[in-house]
Amino acid sequence: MALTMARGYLFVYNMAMCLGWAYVLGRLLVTVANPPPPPDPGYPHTPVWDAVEAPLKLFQTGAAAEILHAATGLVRTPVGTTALQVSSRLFLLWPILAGLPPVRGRAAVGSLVAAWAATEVPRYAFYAVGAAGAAVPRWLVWLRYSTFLPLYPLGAGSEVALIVAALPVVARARGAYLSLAMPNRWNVAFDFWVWCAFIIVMYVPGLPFMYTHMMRQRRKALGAAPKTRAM
Amino acid sequence: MKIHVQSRSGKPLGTLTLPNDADVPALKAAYAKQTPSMYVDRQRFYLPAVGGAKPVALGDRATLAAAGVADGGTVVFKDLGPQISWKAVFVLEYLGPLLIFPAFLLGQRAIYGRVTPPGSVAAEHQVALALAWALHYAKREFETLCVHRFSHATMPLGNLAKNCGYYWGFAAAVAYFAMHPLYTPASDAAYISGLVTFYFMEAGNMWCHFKLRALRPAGSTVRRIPMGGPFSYVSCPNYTCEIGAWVAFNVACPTVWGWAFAACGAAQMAVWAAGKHRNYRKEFDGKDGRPLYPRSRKALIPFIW
Repeated sequence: MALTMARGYLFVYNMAMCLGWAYVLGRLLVTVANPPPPPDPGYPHTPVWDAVEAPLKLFQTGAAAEILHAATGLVRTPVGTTALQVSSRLFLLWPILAGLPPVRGRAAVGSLVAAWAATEVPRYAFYAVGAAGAAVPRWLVWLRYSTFLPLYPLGAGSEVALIVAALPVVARARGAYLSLAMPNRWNVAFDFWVWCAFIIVMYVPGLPFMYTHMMRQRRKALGAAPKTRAM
Repeated sequence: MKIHVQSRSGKPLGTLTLPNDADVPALKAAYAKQTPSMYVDRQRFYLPAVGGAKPVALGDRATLAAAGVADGGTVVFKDLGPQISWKAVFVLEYLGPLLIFPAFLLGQRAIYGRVTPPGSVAAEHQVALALAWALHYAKREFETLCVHRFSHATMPLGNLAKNCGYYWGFAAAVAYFAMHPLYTPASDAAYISGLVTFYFMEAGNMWCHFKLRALRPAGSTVRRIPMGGPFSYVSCPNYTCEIGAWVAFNVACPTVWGWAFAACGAAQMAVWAAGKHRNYRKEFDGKDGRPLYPRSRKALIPFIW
């Protein structure tokens, strides 16, 4: 009974997330195909962000549930890897994009949302079919474990570009935006600019580590590439 | 008897000739003689895996015959990698915090560009807190060199970076804010009660370590039930005192990083205490002449858990 309920919940969750990300992707494509006219001078031109803001916030924040799924053993994925991926995205979504309006107009916002959405639609579809207990079609397995090949570097590159774009904005508000200076009764200080710089540095070992991790998963899921005979 | 040694991938690594009553340490010594780079502490041997079962490791106490290795049999060798003695690891990992905290106090001008106003309450607290921290790690160094007996001789060299990273990293994080010229001191009541409790807990922790040492004579593997003092209430009062000491330190020296350090340490010690408590109860079950472990005794927190 409990198992059926858990699978039912996972099916509903993954299906909702799949449809949600498909909606985000649809909004993005419509906006790119029919870009709205730029506003009056002096106003920020953020067409992609304006189009996807609400569903992006909802469905990307909803991914935080995946950490709980892993931690409670509902799904067999490592908690650490899941937490790392979800938290890095939430960092981009909330303090960077939602918190810093000047960053929203960058072209990298479009490539970021495209990479995220195009990765998540097949991933959640794959999980939903699995939770339903059905056989996952070969093409969906291939999509699930292949979309990251071009999209992971695109997404990571966009993330770094947006954090770099945020640095001067944070520097202008230094000490005022998400920062805490000494003295205070907790005897702790936090400088958001330093944190952003640290995150950028962490992408250097982080990206190859995560990419090779995904490659290993891909090999495991798709099996070794069929050997071709020399003619 | 002849024993064939192979790698985990099945590659032959040689054949060893041993006496018929040879045990696992004799096997390791013979393999170390054949392959000098693979010293005894670096070796682990397994019985070959049968079917999909996990390979069974050969413990050091068993004879090869008792473990199921016959003449002409095969054992699987695993290289545990470069090893370092536990004593050396502990000395190095505690040396960092011992030196780091006073370094932040003495090097205030170089690190922060200014010093805590001399004669201020904060300055007085910082000296006493740096001393308390340093004494804690000096005590740990003393215990490592003179009190503790290690059941394992070595650990993988890779653990050194992990262990040192944990202790040195937290020491630097706590010291940076605790020794900061803009440090906000605790109230007098919190500071005095915290430091007094800290030293009391440190003394308790040390007493427990001497008590545990006395339970096992040098060179023996005999195990007894610890009795008396805080051992009447909990299985691991050394951990109880250690956690108590860090809580008290953070009452006297309130920093976010200090509380984080205490929380991480407490979580790890709770896991260790639960394991030791479980082992005590399993080993001393009151059967076949074995003493019965006191049922009222808790793992870590008196009367509660």
